Amino acid sequence: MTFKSLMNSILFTEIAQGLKVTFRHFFKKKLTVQYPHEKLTLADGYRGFIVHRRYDNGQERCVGCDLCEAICPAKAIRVVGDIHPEFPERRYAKEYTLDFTRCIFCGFCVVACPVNALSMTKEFAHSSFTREGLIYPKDKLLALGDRCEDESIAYLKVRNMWDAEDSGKEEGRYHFPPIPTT
Amino acid sequence: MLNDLASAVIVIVAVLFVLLTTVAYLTYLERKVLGFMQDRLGPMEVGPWGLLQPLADGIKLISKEDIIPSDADKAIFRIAPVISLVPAIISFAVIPFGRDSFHFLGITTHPYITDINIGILYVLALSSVGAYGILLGGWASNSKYSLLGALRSAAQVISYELNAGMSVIGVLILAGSLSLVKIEAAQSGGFWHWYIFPQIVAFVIYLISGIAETNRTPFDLPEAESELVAGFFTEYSGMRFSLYYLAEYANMIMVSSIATILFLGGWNSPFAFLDFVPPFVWFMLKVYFFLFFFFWIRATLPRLRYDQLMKFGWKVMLPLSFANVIVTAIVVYMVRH
Repeated sequence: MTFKSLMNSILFTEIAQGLKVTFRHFFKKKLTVQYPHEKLTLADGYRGFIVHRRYDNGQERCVGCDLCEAICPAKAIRVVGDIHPEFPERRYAKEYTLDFTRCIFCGFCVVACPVNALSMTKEFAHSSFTREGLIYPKDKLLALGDRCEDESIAYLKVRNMWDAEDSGKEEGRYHFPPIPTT
Repeated sequence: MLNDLASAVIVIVAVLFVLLTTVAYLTYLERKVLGFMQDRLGPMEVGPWGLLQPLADGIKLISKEDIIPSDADKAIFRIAPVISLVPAIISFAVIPFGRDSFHFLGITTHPYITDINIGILYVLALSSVGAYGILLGGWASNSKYSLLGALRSAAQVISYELNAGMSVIGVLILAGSLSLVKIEAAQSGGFWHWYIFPQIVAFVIYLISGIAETNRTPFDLPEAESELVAGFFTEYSGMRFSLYYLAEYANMIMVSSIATILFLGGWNSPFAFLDFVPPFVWFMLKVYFFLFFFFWIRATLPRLRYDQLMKFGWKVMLPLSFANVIVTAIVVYMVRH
């Protein structure tokens, strides 16, 4: 043992260094976000709960094409498409359930949707006491979509899926106008 | 006679009230200090800045179900937390919190419960009794974690109590008394009279032994969470669990008070011009400094390995404390003759 290391162990220099670090951190700015009282600003591209969207005239966009069901890696989506009862030339989703207990929030379904009927929001705090509470039928998804319309549009814009809405120029995306109501 | 009795009752009630409130808020303080040192905020929800957290914890612990394991030795299981807590509290009987006697409801009384001439011996004796509570609780729980925790605790408390006792002797030689009041009075008149300077070795040894005796990090092997769940009180729940907790924090205050009295001059102010600050405040400041130091150490150092702990206690601390006693005795003899 050298003289220096002996002095170090007598004077507790290593422990003093450690104490200095913790003492400095005592006065540092705290990183805690007091969640229910203060919330972080989420980015527009945040992949929260998935919602169904409507046209401006209130008509639901989904055409029941099954593409979201096909691409969903977690098999969380179930679509039953059918001919629209009022307009025989159009299809719609007779049943549409999204199981958020399985959903991995990857956003593939939103990319797959040719009519921008799906989008994602910044909602994330939707817990439930039952499993059934997290299996969302279409009306629930539409209601959530109505509530978070701005967020769903912002998501599509920031993910470059909004162009088709304005010009229809993006390849593979079709501009489906709402059904004319006469 | 009646006056003596009344004054004793007043002081006992005051000491118990202050002690139990301090113990309760020490848990809050510890969580806050640890949180702040880890860049967190600590408890914030109950009351402003979480100030009512100890109250909420107390209500929770009292209202919890009292579980006694079916294989436990029930009588000993019930009495063990009490054996741990009572010595921790009654040792405060000899701690002098201030200098001046004061008046309360027309009764003159002094800021300590009693001044017995073997004060420090009494404190050391009671702190070893507290170890029996840990040992019996661990044994009576009839669980492997409790048993291992109790074994470690017994070995640790015994080996470090020896060091603490030996390190105190140096101070006793200088002060010439075992009464805590006289030891404090002997250090009056400026900080250069405090025994921390002639007894710096003993001070360090006492502090380390004190941390080890109260089973706190880095010497918290008896309740090593990662290995032994909660050590000797793994099987305890509800009020009995909180009795052990109270005992641990009361012991922390005890060790801090003794360190304050023996080495930092107790209620003495460091400079003569600071005498206008009441002695009680000085005492509390010093005690809280030590308590903060305990939390600080906990936030900084990881747990020692068991063999390191024993090696350090017996091969480093004990020879040092013996050497300290011998050197102090020789120097004091030569100076006084």
